[in-house]
Amino acid sequence: MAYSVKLFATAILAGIILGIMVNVSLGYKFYDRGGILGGIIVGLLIAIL
Amino acid sequence: MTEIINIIMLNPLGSMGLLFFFGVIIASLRGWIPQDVLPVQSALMLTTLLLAILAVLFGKPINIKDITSNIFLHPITALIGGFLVAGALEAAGAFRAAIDILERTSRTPLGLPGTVAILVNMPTIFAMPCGRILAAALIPAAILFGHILAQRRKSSILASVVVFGFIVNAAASCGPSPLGGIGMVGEGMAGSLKIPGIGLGSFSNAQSIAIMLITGVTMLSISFVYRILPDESLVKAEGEAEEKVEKMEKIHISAYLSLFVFFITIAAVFILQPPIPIQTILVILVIVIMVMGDVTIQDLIGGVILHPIMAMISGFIIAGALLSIGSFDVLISLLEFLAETPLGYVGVAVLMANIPTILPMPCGRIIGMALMPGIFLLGITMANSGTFSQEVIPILLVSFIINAAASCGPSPLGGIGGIGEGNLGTEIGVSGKPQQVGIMIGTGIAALIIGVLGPI
Repeated sequence: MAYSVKLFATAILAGIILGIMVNVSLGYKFYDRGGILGGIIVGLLIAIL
Repeated sequence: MTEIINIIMLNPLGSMGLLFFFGVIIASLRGWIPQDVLPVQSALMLTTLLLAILAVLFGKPINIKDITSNIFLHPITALIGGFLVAGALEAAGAFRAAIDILERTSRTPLGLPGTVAILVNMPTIFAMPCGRILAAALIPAAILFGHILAQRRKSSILASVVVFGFIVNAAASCGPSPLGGIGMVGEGMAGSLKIPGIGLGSFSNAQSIAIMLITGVTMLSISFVYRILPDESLVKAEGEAEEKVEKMEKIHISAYLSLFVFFITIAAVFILQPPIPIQTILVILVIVIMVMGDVTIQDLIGGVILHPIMAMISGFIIAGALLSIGSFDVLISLLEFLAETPLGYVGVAVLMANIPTILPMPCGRIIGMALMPGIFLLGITMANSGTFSQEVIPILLVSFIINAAASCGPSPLGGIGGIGEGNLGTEIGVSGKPQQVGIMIGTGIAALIIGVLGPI
């Protein structure tokens, strides 16, 4: 259980950071919903797969 | 200085082995050994032969068993199995289906930035045994989205940001691959010490998360620091051509099904950890995809890329030769000497973990396999020094592995970066530096994850 919590928390946090980085590098506002959601999806997919 | 000479004089054969190995690597990188005449893999094989002759002259002949025992068959057969799966997926249209899903995604609230975030990370989500598989299969999608973004936001640099973000992700994605990725070798080495939590797939998540951040940092550095401008007319033409193909091409339902079966199988392998070799699972997966997608044997064979297989074998062989003549003992002695300088063990570890990106080879498996025994021994030495716990071994291995896996991205010797540079019409080698910046940060992140959270 603790393992899954750590894994998903880390993956989602990394996803949010990734989303912010993608937003900024593409010239969008850092908090743009799309980039951050995309990053979270990537984090979740990586954690699940 | 006298200490270094003493170390060299104590084992001149081992020292010569190290010198030849790094000499060949540097000479290949600098272009002193023309790659069209003698590729680095072949040069390393010749070096092994030279070392074997020198060993005979020094009266310490290399036992052929010492070399062959270092060729680990498990990652090689898993790699071949992975290529067969990749060939089947490509032929079944699964990658085309993935592009189609991305296109639909861009019309949801995720919009373009969300879709790009997913697209550039696709290689790590799929985690194929070689980044070139998805780099080649999905580059049209990266160019298409780069072109659309560049048009909408009136900034041509965005095409480079998307394409090179995708490229560095693809390059690094062979590290965490369960289908014969570089990480499997390190997991096996660390697993042999019975460190709690270390086993098949234990380095995978830390590497994947680090790759996400490598990708983000590379994209940021291209956008704000390196400013790589593509050939606008080329991007426009390629983007429009891809848009036409997307509109005309009908994707069969079996393509989506193949993609779905692939994801479910990989997820099941990691979650259930069945007591069946991964190769067996891959063969069954290939058969299922073949039946569903009407895939031929020729399609499967077409998916096998010899480049990384040869790179891996040449890396194993030179590592076996270096082990046999005591080069790694010399390396460890030299590193122990360096550790006594202000650099310390941590500085030495940082330097060694980043060696693959400092000397980027066209396939990370060359330096990855050749130096991994040395990195493993360095980890053991650090753990035995009394300053560090045993966990330093997986930390060091995972940092080195992610660095090695990603290093084929910035390689000027036909690395994956060249695929992006060619498609964007930029100068050759221009994408190396931003990728190296991203990889350096990612190496630290991977170490941090294993160090703080353990193998997740």
